Amino acid sequence: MKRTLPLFLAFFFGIIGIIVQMVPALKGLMDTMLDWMAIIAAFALAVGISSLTRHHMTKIRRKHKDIFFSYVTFIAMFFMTIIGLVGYFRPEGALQGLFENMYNYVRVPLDASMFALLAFYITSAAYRAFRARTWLATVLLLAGVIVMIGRVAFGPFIIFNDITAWIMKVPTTAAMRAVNVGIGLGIVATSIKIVLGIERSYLGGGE
Amino acid sequence: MGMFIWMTIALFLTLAVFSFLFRDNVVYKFAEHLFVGVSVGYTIFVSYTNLFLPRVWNPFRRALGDGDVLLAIWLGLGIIVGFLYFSRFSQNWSWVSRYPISITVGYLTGYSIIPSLKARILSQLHGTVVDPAGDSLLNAEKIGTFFKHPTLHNFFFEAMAGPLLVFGVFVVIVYFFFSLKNNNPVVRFSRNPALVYLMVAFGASFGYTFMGRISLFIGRMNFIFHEWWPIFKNMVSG
Amino acid sequence: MKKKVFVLIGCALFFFLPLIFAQESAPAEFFLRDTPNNAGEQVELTFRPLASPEEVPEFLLNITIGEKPVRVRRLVNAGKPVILPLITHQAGVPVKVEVQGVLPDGSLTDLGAVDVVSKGEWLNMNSMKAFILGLLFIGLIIFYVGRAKRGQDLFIRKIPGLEAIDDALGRATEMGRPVFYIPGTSSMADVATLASLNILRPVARQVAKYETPFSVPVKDPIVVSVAQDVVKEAYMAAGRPDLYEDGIAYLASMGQFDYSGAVSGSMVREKPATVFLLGMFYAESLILAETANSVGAIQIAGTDASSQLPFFIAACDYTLIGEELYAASAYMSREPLLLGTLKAQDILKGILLVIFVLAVIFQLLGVDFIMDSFLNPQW
Repeated sequence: MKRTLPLFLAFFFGIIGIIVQMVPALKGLMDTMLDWMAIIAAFALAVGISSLTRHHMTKIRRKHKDIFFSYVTFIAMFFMTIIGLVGYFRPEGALQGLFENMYNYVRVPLDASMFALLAFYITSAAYRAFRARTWLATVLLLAGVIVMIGRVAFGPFIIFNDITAWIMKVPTTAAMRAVNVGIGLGIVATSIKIVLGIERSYLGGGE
Repeated sequence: MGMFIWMTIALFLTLAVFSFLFRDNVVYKFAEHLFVGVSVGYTIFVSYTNLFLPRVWNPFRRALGDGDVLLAIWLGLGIIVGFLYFSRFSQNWSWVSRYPISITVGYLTGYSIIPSLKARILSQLHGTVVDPAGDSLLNAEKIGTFFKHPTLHNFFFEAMAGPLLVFGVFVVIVYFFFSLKNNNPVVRFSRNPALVYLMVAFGASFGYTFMGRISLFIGRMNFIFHEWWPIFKNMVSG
Repeated sequence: MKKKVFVLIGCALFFFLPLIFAQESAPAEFFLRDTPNNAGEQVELTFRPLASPEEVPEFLLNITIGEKPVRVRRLVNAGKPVILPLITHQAGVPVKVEVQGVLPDGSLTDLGAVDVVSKGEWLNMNSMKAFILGLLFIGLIIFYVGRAKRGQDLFIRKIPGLEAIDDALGRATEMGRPVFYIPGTSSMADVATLASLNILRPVARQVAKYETPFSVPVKDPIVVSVAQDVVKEAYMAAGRPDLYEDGIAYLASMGQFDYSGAVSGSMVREKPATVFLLGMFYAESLILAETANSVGAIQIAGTDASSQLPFFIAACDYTLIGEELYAASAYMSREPLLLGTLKAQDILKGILLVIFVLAVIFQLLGVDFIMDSFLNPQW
């Protein structure tokens, strides 16, 4: 019950996953399976939230020095959920507007700013790659610099445009294609291992 | 005024995030924890309104109402399977949650096999033998073009592009063989060219994304100086 | 006299027939067929204008799908054939298309009608080659797993990123600082996530043995359950169930950048000595890798997202490229079953490579046979 049935279920539903790909007439079954995935995801969400809650509850219980911030997370989470849901069921009230403002002026700028940090990180990563003194790092850097210039080149540097186009079209495509072939084999091998029950780590362990 | 307050909150949060570059601090911690809370709250809302209601609850109720027994049973079964997930809240019964997990994992892995074989393996290799127009990549005519008009452009873009692409795919695939010993002649021969191809590819992709990432930061600065600042100036002067 | 009339009529016919036929030759050729290899959710109209755009500038398609009212679609005569997909949503839906030509003076002329009933196929022939390749792969796996079980030694070359894991964990123990393991930021739908959870097991076991603090921040709710199970069983296998708590693997957040913000924050505060970034990543990859670097952690990264590989290569100490991530669980556990699969994977790759080289050579000689029959995914 604890191990054999889950392994059988993985096998059975794995075969269904292959069959729906091969038999277009079974599209109904595929749609139902997608519904199942959605249902399971919905229930898993509750479990996930409980994990997050427990993480912060532990901090609060252990009187961690960041206890205040765990409260911030809790309050923000409940506030956002409640004004969202109440606003959804009573769209005539003011809460829907508040929810939209919370989304547009709290979540969106936080998201965009966190994303924008990448401007600094990509620079520092490039700088570190610059200091590495192996010949491979030099090749990486050279290609990077050429393409960087090529993307914005004008006037006498226009030759970099052509070089960039060539680098992207030939060596980059070649390497990415080969890497993709390997990844494809890896995905298929891992999938087959799981469907056949050879790989069981996802159930906790091998025994 | 209301708008100005909201925009000032957005400004404060933007600066709070950037302050992390300097060092971890109270303001960043506040922004980070607020971000998690707001984001998770938003996800709960979206999952309820865009996932649970339209994909689970409403179809189930409709199926019951329409007397579509088969669909109702299917969905009901799905709901029961999903419900097994709640066994995680119990110490002794948490292993029951393996059922929905193995159904998810089994189905999704089985489902991924054929598309991966098609898109990641067959199509990639096929595309390396002939280009989308159906011309062979090792095209003698193109090499002939170079000898007719021997320019650098023709050499790299026409004559050598196809052969170098085919060669690159070959050596990089060989590089990733796991069971060939390092002193195998094929491995020894292809190792350095493969590494060059890989490093050029990674460097080029890095460089290609660079300006895009910089423009993200410019976008935030635009918000501060072109959206928030004019409103602030108006408020102060008016 | 009679004879002359017949001859005259005959001559007239001879001269006018081509004219009559020329007028009769339709301004367009079109047919409707069920789109093959689907569940009947679509049929397609192939439309080839024969008249020049000056003669018939436009065509009107009156489309009737099932019970739905007639939909009129205007098709500008560009002189090129077009294929129009018509969505029927399910099998068994009759589709009718009546075509009219719009003449330059605006008058309409009927060009006839075509119809078809959508039908679902029982076999997707476009996936057949992939399916056969999959069967071959399964066969190879079963064969090599059998050999591995019989105790045959299967050689696997060294993978530097994986060789480094032991040292990296040892370093964390010596420094008394925690180990972070980030199993990607995607869901179970990405097989890379599963590959990462397979590596989590040996890592967690080692960590438990060394009694190093361990943290697995996760972004997806299903992944967090699996990660908890994996860590728990690994601690038990290492004989240290006392060290295990559910909070080791936890849901840090659920969005892309709030997650990276939260994890970066934890990294800066807890100062891990080793950070694993294994699985599927998106743009946040570099935020995580650079933050890990800023606290002086050794980063062992690996992903199959080819768009993120460049960042890991530039920013991390060790990077598992693409399939090395998938090979890792076999490599680390040294379980014969998993090693057998890895061997089978190599053999299949060898077969594909040979076919590829042959296809290239034969293509050069003008023979498409090998490419078309083995590498073209279409049947």
